[in-house]
Amino acid sequence: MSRVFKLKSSDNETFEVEEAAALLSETIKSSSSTEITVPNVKAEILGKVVEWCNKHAESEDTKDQLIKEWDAEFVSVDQHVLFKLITAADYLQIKELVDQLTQRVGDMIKAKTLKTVEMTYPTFNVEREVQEELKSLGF
Amino acid sequence: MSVLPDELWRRVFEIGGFSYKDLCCVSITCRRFRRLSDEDHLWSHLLSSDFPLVAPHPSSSSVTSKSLYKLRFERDRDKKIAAHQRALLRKESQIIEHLRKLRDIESRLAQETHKMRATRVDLSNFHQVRQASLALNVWQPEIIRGRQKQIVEQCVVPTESRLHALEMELRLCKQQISGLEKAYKDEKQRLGLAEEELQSMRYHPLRDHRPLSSGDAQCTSKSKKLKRCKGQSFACSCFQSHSFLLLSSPVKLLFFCSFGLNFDI
Repeated sequence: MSRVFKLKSSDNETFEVEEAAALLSETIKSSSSTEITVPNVKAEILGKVVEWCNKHAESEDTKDQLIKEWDAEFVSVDQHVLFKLITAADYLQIKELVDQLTQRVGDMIKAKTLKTVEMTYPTFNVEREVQEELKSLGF
Repeated sequence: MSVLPDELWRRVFEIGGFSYKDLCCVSITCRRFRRLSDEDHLWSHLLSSDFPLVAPHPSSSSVTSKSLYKLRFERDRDKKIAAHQRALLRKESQIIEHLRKLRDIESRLAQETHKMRATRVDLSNFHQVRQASLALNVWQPEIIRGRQKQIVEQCVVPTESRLHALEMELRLCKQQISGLEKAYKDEKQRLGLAEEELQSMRYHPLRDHRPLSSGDAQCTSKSKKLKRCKGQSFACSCFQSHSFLLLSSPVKLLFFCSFGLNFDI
């Protein structure tokens, strides 16, 4: 009888996950209880992670073309969602998902030139860096 | 800037399959990325993939992978520039050779044409003589007869054979000329091809191969480059420039340079 794990998001929503899917996460694997609270991860994101796990649990062969296409679709999300997904997957230590997501970030960065990278990723705050640098030089 | 922890960004840079250009682009976006993208493991990987044939540097621990990469990159680039220059020179001398040949053909053409004209004149003179001698066999008014006798007497050479020879000569001249004209056309075509090749060899809108020297020289060259690049698309300048440090030119980069912050590696 496969166990059912309960994953709770930061906004108190619970997801039930079958053992096979749940054990893709190292965090869950090494956890002693079947009820895991995932802090800082909202339901929307957690739901997606669960979806990925389910998909990958049911199909053994990850080299399958269909799975690859599904994965490609899965990671083509908006940057904000992408980063949140990475954080969640990282917390749950789902190596393959993290790899896929970081690969996607890498691809997105490569596809852009510097200027558009600055515009797309507002976290790259060059202006502020410059200001700081100037200040430290006494200007 | 703390959306993702350093470790995950490291993962991104490792997994992403970044080229040296990508890493450099990333390294000038902000200090954090500069730090993360400068890491040795990334550059060692690039070193082994891009310059596998180069013998490993007698490892001195003060040399970072990135600086080593830069060194090899510049050496390689300089080699390529030198080779390109040589190719250009070869092409140019080829063109000069074509031009010389063309001039040669032109002068021979002129000679032959001149000869042909002279032969034609001669020929027509001899025709006159022959006409005159034939006419003498027929009765004509005395004045005309007199003139004709004069013409015939003036001619000291046996008419018929000379005529024949002249006609041969004329034919030969014409043959020569048409041969030369063809040769000229061919040579002209070769010249055209060579010139086109030279043009395409020279065409490279953004390549700038001034050797990178450190410090201020770099700054002024960068600001000049900035002015030149302003009108052009960033994608273009990022991926076509071979300058290792200057991969794209936002105004912000100028800030860094002009205040003496350099990316010295």
